[in-house]
Amino acid sequence: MAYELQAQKRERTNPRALRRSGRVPAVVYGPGVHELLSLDRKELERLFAKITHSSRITLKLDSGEEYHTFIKEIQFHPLTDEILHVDFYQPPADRPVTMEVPIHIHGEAKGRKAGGVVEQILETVEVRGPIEAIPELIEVDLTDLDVGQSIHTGDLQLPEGVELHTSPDLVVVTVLAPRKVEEVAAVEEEAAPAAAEGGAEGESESAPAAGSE
Amino acid sequence: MRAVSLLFPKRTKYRKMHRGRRKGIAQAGNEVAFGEYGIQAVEPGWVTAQQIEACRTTLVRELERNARIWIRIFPDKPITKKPAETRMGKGKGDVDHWVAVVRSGHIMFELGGITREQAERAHQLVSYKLPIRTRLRERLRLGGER
Repeated sequence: MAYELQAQKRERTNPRALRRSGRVPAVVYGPGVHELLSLDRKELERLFAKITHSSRITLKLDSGEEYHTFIKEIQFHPLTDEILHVDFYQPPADRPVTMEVPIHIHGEAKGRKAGGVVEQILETVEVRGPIEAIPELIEVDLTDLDVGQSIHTGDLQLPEGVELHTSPDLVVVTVLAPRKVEEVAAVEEEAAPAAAEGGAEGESESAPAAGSE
Repeated sequence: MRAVSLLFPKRTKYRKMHRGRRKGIAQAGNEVAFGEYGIQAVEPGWVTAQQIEACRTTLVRELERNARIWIRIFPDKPITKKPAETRMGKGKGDVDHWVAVVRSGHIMFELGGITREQAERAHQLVSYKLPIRTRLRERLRLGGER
């Protein structure tokens, strides 16, 4: 599905001033295309609420020009989450494109009911195919996944004409065995003498590294 | 007594460091990259190895077995201190403890395999252990990906 978005051409004006006026600076590029744009922030936020990173977006300019694009990059402010800038890419229409497509997991895994931890390793997967065949989302059903089992990139259901553009052996999602609380306590006690030494000397060579998990 | 294993570098090029500055916002490590939720600093500060360990313990206890935890800060800055009742001079003091330099926006901890409610509770407990204000941040996803 292609979404539409109104855009205006912009001169090389101060992006901060543009943002203050309720617009977001953007750029569209691709073979033979390079245009600086500005977008209405509210319209962009409404669009972002329903699309994915691999959705097709038609940019409509006031002058009547149209660009058939994908999102290349979105910049957000790290603290305020404000949209700072958007990059759109217009790929050549007659050639297949390589895209990162988001993976969406659903269903409660069998292994999770048994106490396992579902971990999604890959958030996106690289696929290659004609522009109109690139999916917005790849759905993965976890229902039959037990503890210790994984779903690999090769197991993903891709639409016709679209092929995987990465190794088929990469783990997408896995169910890890539950962590044992006793083990954590044991590790802490083992590290006790070393920690005491380290604390006294300030800079001991035998640094006891606390496990991140 | 419960033993604590504190974090500090195995070896360092120089023993002591200047204080440095913490202006601006974090240019790296400001996005949730591993888990579903992140605990983000909203002001700059020094987080000591003890504080990081206290947070880790709190998270492990609160979330027990159904979660994954990532610690994305490491205390690699030595902080020196002169002994009590010492006259000024005679050089810089000895290394007292280690801190991680945290700028606004840095994701300090990440959590995965848990619900939003569990993440909120964990964030509340961790925030009590930290010297700076924090907020809970979700992994960035567009509306159609949720």
